[in-house]
Amino acid sequence: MPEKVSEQETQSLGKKRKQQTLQSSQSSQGLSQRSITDFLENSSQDSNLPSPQPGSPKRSRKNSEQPETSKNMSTQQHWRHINESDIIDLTSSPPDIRASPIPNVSVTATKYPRPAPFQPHAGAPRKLHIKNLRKPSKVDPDVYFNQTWNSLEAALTAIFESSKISTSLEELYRGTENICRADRAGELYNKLKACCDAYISDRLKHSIMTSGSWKDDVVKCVVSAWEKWNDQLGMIRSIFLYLDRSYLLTNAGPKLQPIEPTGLDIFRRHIVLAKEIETKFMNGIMTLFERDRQQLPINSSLLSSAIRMVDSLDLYTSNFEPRFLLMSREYYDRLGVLEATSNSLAEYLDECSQQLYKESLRCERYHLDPLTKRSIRLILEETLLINQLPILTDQRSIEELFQKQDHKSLTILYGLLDRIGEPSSHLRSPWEKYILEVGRSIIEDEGRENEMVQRLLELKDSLDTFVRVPFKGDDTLAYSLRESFGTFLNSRTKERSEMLNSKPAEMIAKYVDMLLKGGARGASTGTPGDEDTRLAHSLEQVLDLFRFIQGKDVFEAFYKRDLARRLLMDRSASRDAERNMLTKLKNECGSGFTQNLESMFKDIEISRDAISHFKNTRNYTENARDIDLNVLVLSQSAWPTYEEVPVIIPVKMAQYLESYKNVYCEKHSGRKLMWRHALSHCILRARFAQGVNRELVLSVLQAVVLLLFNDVGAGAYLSYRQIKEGTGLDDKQLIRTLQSLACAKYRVLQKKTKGKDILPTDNFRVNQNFSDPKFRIKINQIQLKETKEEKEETFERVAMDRQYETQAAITRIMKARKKLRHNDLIQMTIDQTKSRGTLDVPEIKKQIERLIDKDYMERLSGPEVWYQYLS
Amino acid sequence: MKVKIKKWNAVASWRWDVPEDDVCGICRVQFDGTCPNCRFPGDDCPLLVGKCGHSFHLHCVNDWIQTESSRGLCPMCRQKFEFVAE
Repeated sequence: MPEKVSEQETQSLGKKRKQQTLQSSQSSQGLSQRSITDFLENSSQDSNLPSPQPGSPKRSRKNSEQPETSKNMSTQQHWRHINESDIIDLTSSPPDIRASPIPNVSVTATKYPRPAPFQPHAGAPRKLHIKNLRKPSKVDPDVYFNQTWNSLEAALTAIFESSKISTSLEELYRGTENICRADRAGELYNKLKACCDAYISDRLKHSIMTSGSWKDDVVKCVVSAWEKWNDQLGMIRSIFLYLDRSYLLTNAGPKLQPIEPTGLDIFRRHIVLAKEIETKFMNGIMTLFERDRQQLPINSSLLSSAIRMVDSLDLYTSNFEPRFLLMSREYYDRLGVLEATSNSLAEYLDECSQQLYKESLRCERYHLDPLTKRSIRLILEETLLINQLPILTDQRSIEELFQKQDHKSLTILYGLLDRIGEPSSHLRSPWEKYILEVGRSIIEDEGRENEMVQRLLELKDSLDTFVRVPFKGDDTLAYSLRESFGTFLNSRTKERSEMLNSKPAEMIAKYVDMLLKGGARGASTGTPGDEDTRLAHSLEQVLDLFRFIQGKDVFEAFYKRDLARRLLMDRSASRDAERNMLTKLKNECGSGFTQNLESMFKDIEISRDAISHFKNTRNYTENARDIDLNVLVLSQSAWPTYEEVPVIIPVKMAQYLESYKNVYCEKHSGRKLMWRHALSHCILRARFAQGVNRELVLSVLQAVVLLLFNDVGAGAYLSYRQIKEGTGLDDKQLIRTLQSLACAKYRVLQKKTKGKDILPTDNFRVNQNFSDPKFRIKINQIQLKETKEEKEETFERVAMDRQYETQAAITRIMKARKKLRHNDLIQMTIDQTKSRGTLDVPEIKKQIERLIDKDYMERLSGPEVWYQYLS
Repeated sequence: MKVKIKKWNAVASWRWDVPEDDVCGICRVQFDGTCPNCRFPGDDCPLLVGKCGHSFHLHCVNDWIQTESSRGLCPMCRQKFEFVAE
């Protein structure tokens, strides 16, 4: 609209133009001040004109040039002329050619003969008229509705019959839209619903019932009908989309639902919930499940679509789930009873775990609800586990599993019992019984006494494995393992004496002895590492057994005896291992327990120093021939007591020893040395016939006998009496010694008459034909072998020690407390002596009686028994 | 056959050089045993032999000498108690 632009520009450019004109006149024409003012006046007049020329600076400069001015003025006039005659109101609607001209508009426009320039703030009121230009519909709405519905119905029928829809879908969609716009959506919806209703309740249902597989596969019929209907429903929804999205969505209520739910609802009402179908259909699904459980082949995709269908129809919780659970319960009830009674425990356990696993897989596969899955699990646990609990926890069967070391079944059993409660409460008693039984059988097996510890270790290992693997480290069971293990190790039956009862302690001590002597290189095969690590590992294992032993004093006695022997004979495989073991014992039982053992080690150290001191003295250099002397000096109280054996030592040797004794007594005044020849041993270099040289390792007693033969001619006999006189040994020792030399593995001496026993009438001579591939021969020292008396002695000493210990403990307590109640005294005594072995209450009572007899304490009369310490 | 001694591993045990069954005059316990305050006999609880010929557990006689009434005398013979230096 050029008019408008020009008007605006005139206003805004007025000032600008003034300046520009001024500039140009000054520069080009050099006008006087006055003429400038004139021009200014002129131009200001000019600016009042309504429509000057369109203001571009170029043009305005041209304007000021004289020759052109007149021409320019004329154009201006022309512009003005046009404007005045032809101005129109811009705010009114543009004139429509088709519609008749609106008189008002023209009137408003023509009211102002000469419109003022545009003045936005002038505030003159103006009216705005809007006109609806749409052509009103000429068709009757009812007719249109019926027409459209007819075509829609035809389309629906086509959909139902799966034939081609004759009308174009676009048209149908438009029709629906038009009807909805005409406010007749409700009517349309009802018609549509009725149409679908009729179709499903009649034709679809009919087609289901009459289909070929109706009789034998209801599920399949229903599901395929469902799928078909779903497709059809999709199509219907597309056609009626406008209805669905605009009317139904916004007005949704209990009676009015979008097309899809409506379709589902119809299907649900007429098909799935129909009396003649519902039961059959659900039973069909159940049958499928049952067949699946029986591992019969089923159409699993059909089953999952059926489940999906039930789920989409919202019948899952109301119709499907309760039936399913009921049926599952019945099924597994039957199965549980059947399997549990007809199978062994191991098989039943396997079955149960498989069923549980499969059922959970089944729930996953058919997309059953997590809640259903949970219920099913509960049902399975109830029917298969809780109801069959007596069979599951049958003591005998479980023990059998233990015996068979059936880790797999036990793992399952533990896992299953874990589902329904505390497994240890069911497993504990067979577990303990098994441990006690096996343990006792090992301990009481006198034939295999020597393997006892090894077998106990194996047992412990296997039991630990039970706890670790199948029982997942169950605390209660681990605890009862320890408890039962301790029980059988310390069990005390009436007919068995104290001595037999302490068998495990004794055997453990012996086992440790064997380990430390290095005799058990294969004791713990399979453990990695070098020999030292293996030894340490084995010791640790034995110590584990030792912890269970209550009669720790018995162990100590035997251990001490064995340690003494190892030290004296220098038989220890490794000094570090000995130290190690000692430290461990110290940690277990306190320093009081190991004090004696430690002082034994100390004696050995001191003796070593003493002998090196001796070798620096004159006494040594005077006597030193080629005899290497080593002396161990024991402090009597720390070592086991040894019987003194009188023996005549060769003079030279005796002198040699005497010189040592002198040096020792010089160093340690107030002490007396006594030789323990029975414990000494030596190495003899022997030359047999044909220049056979051998070294014999033997006890001093054996050596003394052999040395006698140096003085007789080759092949000459010495009689028993001669030997006895020469050695000064008593009969018992001599017989043993001769036996070891003449009747054992290495026969250095020959007895004139054959036979195993040594008689006082026997004669002996050197076996000239003696030979052995080994250079150094160790002749077994029978006298150091454990005898029955020795063993009994050890026990006796242990019993005595125990009594003294108890008495000492009681006295210590009484001395500290002065006055004490009977029960307190007993308890405190037990506490004090615990580290050395647990005492019996009767034993403590006996010791209290003794102390009362010895006037260490007295019994106070009164209702309660009190004791008073007497100083 | 001739045999020669190559090595001799002798074993000896020591005890206090006092008559057997002799007891400490103070605590009346055998010398081979300990004084009442010790638990392990031997080097840990040594004897002290007086010049007067009376021996006691070191711990026993120590306690005695430290009491004022002892006046440094042997409890047995009331002579000045001096011990034989080792």
